[in-house]
Amino acid sequence: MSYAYLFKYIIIGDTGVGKSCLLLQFTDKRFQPVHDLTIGVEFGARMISIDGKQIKLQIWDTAGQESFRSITRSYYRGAAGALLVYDITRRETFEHLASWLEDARQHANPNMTIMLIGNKADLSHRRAVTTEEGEQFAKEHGLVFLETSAKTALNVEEAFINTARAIHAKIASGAFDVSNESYGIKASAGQAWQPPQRVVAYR
Amino acid sequence: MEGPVLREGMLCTEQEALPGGLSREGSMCERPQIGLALGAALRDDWVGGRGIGGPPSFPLHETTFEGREEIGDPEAPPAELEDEYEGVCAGGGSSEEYSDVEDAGSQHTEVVYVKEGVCMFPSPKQRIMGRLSLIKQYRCLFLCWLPYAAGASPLEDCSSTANGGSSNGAAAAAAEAHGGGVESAKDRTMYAVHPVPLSDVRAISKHTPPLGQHRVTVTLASGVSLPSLHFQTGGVKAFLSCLRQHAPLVRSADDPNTWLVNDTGDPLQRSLCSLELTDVLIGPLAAGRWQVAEGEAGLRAQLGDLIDRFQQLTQTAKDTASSLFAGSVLLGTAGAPEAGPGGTSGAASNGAAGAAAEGGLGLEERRRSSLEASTSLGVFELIEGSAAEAAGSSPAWTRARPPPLTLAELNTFFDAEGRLANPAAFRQRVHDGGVEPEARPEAWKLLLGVHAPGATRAERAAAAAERRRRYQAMRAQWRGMDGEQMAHCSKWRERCTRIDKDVRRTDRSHRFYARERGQAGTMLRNILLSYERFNQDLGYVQGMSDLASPLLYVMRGAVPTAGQLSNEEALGVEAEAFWAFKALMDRLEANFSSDSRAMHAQLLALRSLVQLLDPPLYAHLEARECLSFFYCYRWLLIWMKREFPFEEVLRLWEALWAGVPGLHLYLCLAVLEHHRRQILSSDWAFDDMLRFCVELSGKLKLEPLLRDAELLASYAGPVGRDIVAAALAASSI
Repeated sequence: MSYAYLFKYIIIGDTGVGKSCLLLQFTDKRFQPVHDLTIGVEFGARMISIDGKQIKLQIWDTAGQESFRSITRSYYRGAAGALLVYDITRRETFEHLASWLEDARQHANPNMTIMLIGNKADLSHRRAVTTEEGEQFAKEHGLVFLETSAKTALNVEEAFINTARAIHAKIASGAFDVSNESYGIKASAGQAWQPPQRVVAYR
Repeated sequence: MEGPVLREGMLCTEQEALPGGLSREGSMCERPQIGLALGAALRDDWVGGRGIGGPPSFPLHETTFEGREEIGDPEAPPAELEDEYEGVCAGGGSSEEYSDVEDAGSQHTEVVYVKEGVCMFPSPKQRIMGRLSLIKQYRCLFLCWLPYAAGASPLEDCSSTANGGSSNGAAAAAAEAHGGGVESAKDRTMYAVHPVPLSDVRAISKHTPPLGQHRVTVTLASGVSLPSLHFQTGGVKAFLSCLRQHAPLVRSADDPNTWLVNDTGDPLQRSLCSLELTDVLIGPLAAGRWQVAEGEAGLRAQLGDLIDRFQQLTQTAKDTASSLFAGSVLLGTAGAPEAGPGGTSGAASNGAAGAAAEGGLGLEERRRSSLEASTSLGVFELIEGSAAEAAGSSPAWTRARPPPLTLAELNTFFDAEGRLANPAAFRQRVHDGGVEPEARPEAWKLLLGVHAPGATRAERAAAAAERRRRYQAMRAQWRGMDGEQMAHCSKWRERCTRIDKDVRRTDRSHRFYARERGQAGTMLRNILLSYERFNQDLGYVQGMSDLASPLLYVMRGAVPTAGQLSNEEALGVEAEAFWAFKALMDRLEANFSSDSRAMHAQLLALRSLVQLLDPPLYAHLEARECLSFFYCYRWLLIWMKREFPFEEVLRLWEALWAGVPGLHLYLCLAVLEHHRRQILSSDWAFDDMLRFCVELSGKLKLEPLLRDAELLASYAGPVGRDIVAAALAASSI
């Protein structure tokens, strides 16, 4: 399928906050509580439509544990959007946001759109971080904020699509040079990931 | 004039023919041995491998290009060229040449199929006639189509007649229009299909319309389709049936007119071909291409040594190749200028055979050993030498895979007192054949060193009891923590939470771990928590559960009880799994250290190995900023645990433990080499490469990879051993 743009996203945040589940909910529309923990990185992709334009999201789901930070950093390059995820039932995952943000600022493109996600909103009875705290943090750091539930699919579409909308607005305003792939955007009419194999003769 | 012209004809230039088509790189120019023999087998209008000097063939690029320039000169009168070709052809009869070559010593090269007058139509108005042939060298089949030299075609006249005079008229008109012959030598040779190993071919399609010409399209593994080959006088069926006799063809499920070439067949053959080992060997031999990246002091220090070795290799390769392909080599060098090919080849090959015998090269012996080595004769001999030296045993490709080791057979490895009599033989046996599930608990404990080497049966039993006691005490330490104590141990609590979470996310798709909070999960948790206590400096890091899970599964197999284990049984299994895990972590602990030093050391080693063994791939990755090898991170961290199905991981690990040090690095390398063509034919940036590697999970074929990993390890020889040793030293804590 052809698309106008390809956006690279990266999902970051502490281990066990539900990064892989968010991705699966978004790409496959299902919640799978039992899946292998992520080592290194996993991928997902989905086509969305913004203002009538087809946009392909290529989403990188990273491992959360600190010991993998050095490798995770190598994935930031070329990301147009990031979902920074914490678990509203585990306060420490919220407290680690600053260090994640620092990593992102340091290793990603400054124009990268970051969406702050408070996940597991369905577990409100075990809530350890209030919505206001999340909003406050987002406001202080210039992020967009949403609380989601990968289990019930609450706000999952919005999280990914609003991020794309923000990126698209940046393109429209000329903040991105679309021809420069280090912004994580590829303007394309064909496949971006695997270029069609050349079928050529011996010239 | 003659020399360059002929060279042009024989070698053509890959670079010219396929601009940027890296996938083709090395198919001819980097396989001098093959090229030599095939060149000899094919010579006819092209007159042998006259243009081909001795191996290595790199200097020939220059002459080739010079030749091209001359040929490509639009001012050059075509008539003169034709005369040259004609003269040559007059000297060399076509059919006798083959037997001549066989006599000359390339008895393993056989032309199994020839079809004259097969055409290509590069454009509707342009037709190039040529000869299609299948050549078998050892067990590798090559497909080849070479255009006739203008005026040299045995069928030229008759086919021209068949097509009527109009085509000649059209050609002449076009020639006038373009100010040059449509079928100029340059155009003809540009389309030549130089011997392509069948392993490079993905599919062959036939088009046999009721009206019109029958034709065949060849699609290479890289996805490139060659221009259709038109069988003007029919014979597509015969071609395919001949092909089928020599290579396994599988009719495509999607298209009954398409045959997949490399779908089945001798996996060894295929994997050897797919590895392009000749390519790999020749790469570093080209001294000019061996470059050490700036600022890499360690590598730089090895450089002098390397070059020495390469020079030795080059010399040996020359010796070997020249003895094996004596006829063609001499033809290519000495015989070129003066005599016609018929006379020269006979004399030269006799001389060569004599020289080889005199030189005491043990030609026959070499040939015998090379029989198993498929296409790259000289290469494999070198490997064999170093492999025998390295492993002290015969290399993998000379052995058929034995069946897995049974418990009964395992017991034969022990002496009367139960000592492992010959640990090396045991390891070799495990490495080659793997282990039956029933024998795994004991075999793994031997491999991992849980059982002390040289211990008797009684000593092992005593040690097992002691291990059990120690484990139980360790487990009791954390189990006995009371609430208040826990309240003061936030780090421990955090790690408990993490382990709990991760155990619930480890191999849950495997039946053994399927049950939420089942006994297996609880045991895995106990092992990981106990290890956390045992090695608090390191603590728990993600990936450890992946390593512990197969160990527990295997140790559980030692207890025949079906269903739930009793507490005592569970303790016994847990204890053995814990100590096996501890032994494995003794080797892999550094992978999990927070500074990632060991991981970086291994990634660097991988990089050095690629640089050593496959410079073209290295250059390709370098140009795309892919030299961090981060895409191999997961492979190295948990030894490919996520790349294969659970049961195959068991076979993989035991093979790696029983193999040479650093075999896991070579396995990563083998994975890359197996996808080399795909990588080289793509312009992937780091992201694409990473995604490609991640998505290989579950698609890899274990046995060919294991075999080729060992092959690569042998091939890397002492230099590779040094690289691996340096990485492992940096990895040790």
